[in-house]
Amino acid sequence: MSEIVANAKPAGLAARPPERRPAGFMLRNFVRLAIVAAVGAYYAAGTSSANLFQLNSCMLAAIGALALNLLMGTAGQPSLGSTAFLGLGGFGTVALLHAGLPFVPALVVVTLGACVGGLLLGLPSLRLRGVYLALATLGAFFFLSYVGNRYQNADAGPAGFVLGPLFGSAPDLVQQRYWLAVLFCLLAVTSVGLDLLSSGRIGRALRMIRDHEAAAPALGIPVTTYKLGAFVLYAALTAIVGSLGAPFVGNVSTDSYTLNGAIAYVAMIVIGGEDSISGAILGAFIVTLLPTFVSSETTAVAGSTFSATYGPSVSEGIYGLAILVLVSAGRGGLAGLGRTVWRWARHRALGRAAGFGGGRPVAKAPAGGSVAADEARAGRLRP
Amino acid sequence: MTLLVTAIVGGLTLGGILTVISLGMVLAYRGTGTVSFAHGQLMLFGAFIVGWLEAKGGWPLPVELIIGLSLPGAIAACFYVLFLRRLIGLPELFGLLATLGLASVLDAAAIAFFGANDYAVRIPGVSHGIVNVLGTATSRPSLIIAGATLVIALALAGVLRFTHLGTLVRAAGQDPLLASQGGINIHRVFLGAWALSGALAGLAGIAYADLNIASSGIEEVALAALPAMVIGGMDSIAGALVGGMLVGIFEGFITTYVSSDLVDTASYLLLLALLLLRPEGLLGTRYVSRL
Repeated sequence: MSEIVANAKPAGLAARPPERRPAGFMLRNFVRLAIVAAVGAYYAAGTSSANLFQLNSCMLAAIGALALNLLMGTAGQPSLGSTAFLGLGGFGTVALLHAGLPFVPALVVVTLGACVGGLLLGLPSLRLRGVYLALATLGAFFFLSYVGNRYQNADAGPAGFVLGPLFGSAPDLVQQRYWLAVLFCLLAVTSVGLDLLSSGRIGRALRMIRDHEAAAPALGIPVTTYKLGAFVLYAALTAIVGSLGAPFVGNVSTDSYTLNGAIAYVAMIVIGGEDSISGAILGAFIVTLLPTFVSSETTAVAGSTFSATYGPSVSEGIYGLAILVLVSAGRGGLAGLGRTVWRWARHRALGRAAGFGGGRPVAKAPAGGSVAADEARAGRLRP
Repeated sequence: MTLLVTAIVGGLTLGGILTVISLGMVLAYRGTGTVSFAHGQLMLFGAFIVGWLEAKGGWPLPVELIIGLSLPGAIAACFYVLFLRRLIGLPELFGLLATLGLASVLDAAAIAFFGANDYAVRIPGVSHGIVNVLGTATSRPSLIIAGATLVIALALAGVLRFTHLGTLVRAAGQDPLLASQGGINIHRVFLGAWALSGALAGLAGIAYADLNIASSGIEEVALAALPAMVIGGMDSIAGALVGGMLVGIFEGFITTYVSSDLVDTASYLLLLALLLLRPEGLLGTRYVSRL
């Protein structure tokens, strides 16, 4: 905590010292993107456009999950409004395309609109905390789904709007490869940008707001600005995902923007591990791929009739159970589990090498904010 | 006049059911500080098991009802013992996330056990028919259920307010640490609160299914009860009654005079407005944080 004081104090008084990133910052971003790129290259070289479609869906979900992770994991503002903003992106894009705008300007306009929406949704967060805020975002969900429903019933009928492919008349496989390139770039920019944000001064301030909101202003943290900023960024990124998802899936209807969808985004964060960028990406991949995986497994084990009837609910049950177990284990999801295993392994290795028979290794105090953040996280998770 | 009576009777009936739902949620919240998003799924289990037993036939009604109340109660108790118990003392958000997980699991289990069928639930004691209220034909079970839920809510409020058991529950909910130092077995109290909360969910589910049908639409009723619970004050038993009736009648008027599509949106907007003006609800405890 002393570090936050040291960093927040000079604001306006003296020149701020240059931000120091933790030692592993470059490495971890490189490794993260290299893994995603390797998976992408493997499937892009293949000939199955269905596999590529799955991978692209995962990448889209990962961007949405990163946005929610900033808001919920780092800033501690829970939101059940993810599908509301996805819907805002989707329906907004459809409306603007119908009005004659090309796709990219439509995307930009929708994103700006979502910024305003995020600002509005952020306003209750200035007065409400935790559970109350989750309910307020639920209100936003009901409101936007009502508006979406009205628009859809007036202009398209119950099946929703149909959109043509984005990249001309190329065959399906080529379309998916284009999407892969676009989405990979977007995921790279988002994940590196958010890591930059959350490992620096802003991230520490957001964690302070999450853990000790009442004390944050005393450290010179402008709580209102940071909270609204987190909401705006979250809304904008989620709306971009919704807007890209419209031509990607080729169909926009209220059936795709359900409360269960919003819960699935929360599940991605919880399963991956709150306040972890790798965790959010991992969680998004797991939650997105689970239905397909379960459907193919149940088809193999019990036949296609069983799979069609029970497949979706089996996967829902599995991720529900994963949430239950990971939340009550209180170790910060899969990312936290990985961290624990890593520490244990390092402890064993260092302890043996230095000749401490299982004792705690004496580690050099590393620079940067990551240790403080880890300590804060550990402290929060321990009752 | 006819419309007005329809709106009020419809609102009172819905209000009665919302009251029982929010009573259950308030009880869970008073215990562990958890807002349950799995309450709708618990209602579903209560209603479906009764409908399933009725469809099979051969079971006496009291047994059916006891099973219908104790199954959701048992599920809620198991949830507390297995998962929620570990989250005592953590921020409320973790409990909420756990109930989201429970909701998904119960959704899956409901499909697995009951399939995608709907069940008719008819409680023979509640005679079905038409009553005239001020010259307007209204359904008899609606009135009976509105009255019965009112009685149950008042009875529960009385128990919590005036008995030793009620004191234990209130003490454990207000300050778990102090209560446990004072010799109260808080885990047992919380377990009881969750079991009763589940049973109340089952009761609300059965009542709703008797008026309509046991289908997956029940879960949405629980979402509609969240505004009722918060408007009344999340930690107030009397608030559950006031909020439930208020939101029920509000929704009755919206359904009758405007459109039934608008019901959820309108009540959540009402909730949003009230949250901004008075976050603790009408009768809730104002939370003051001191550094």
